Amino acid sequence: MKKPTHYIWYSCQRATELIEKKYVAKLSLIEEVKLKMHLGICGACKKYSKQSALIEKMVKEIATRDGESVNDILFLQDRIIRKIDEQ
Amino acid sequence: MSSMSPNEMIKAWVKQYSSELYSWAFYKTSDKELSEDMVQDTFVAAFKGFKDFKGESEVKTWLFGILKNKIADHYRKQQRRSMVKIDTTGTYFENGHWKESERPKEWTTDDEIHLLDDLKFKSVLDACINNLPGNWSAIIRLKFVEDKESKIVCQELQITPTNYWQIIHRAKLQLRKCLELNWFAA
Repeated sequence: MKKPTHYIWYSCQRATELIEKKYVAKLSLIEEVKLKMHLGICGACKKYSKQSALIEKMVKEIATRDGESVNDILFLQDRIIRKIDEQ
Repeated sequence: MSSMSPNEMIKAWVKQYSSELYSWAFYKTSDKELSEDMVQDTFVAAFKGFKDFKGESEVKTWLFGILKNKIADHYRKQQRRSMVKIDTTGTYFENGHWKESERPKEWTTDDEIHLLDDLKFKSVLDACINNLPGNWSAIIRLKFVEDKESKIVCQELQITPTNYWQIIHRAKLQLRKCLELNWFAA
């Protein structure tokens, strides 16, 4: 059951979901305000938010550093083209 | 269609579509080598069946149709493995509050910026990423490695935008926990 306070306060689950949503989409004004309110009083979610940002940065950094995936696709394309020539 | 030979035509499609086909296969199977093989088989089948392709559907739809059949065959053979459900019951109570064991703790690091230069840390992070279920790593691959816009990722994986950030949320929760247990609290 949703408690009436739900309409004002986000749960931690909802708050952390929106922290992630923010990386890929724009939050509505209400979402933005309610998230700020939640983070203002919730230490755990505040930590989550900081850690999430760090993870985001690190994963991006690794991805661009390694960059192997793009090469993998080029390699796969070569392999397929050779295979088709064998047909 | 132009004066290109079937061989040239297929090769052009390989360049154009293999990345998308691969992402889809990887999202569905979580298996790199299997996905590569399936994409290769898709093009070989397309080459052999080229004369059956009347150009009535779009090339991309046709290729995806072949690939989807291959994926379905694979699962028929291998018994169905269920897709990962987005389940957060392990993390939060029913009322949406953190469970005590899952509640984020302070991470103490003196040098965040150079963390990645620490090979020991890097191997922990790599292991944590590799431990994510396949369809999450497919999303991470598209989002970060190929740097695709979320709209495109959703199209390629045929998921809704809401599902997209819910999956990311779930992956982040797991990555966070994994790093905390294996590095920051270790």
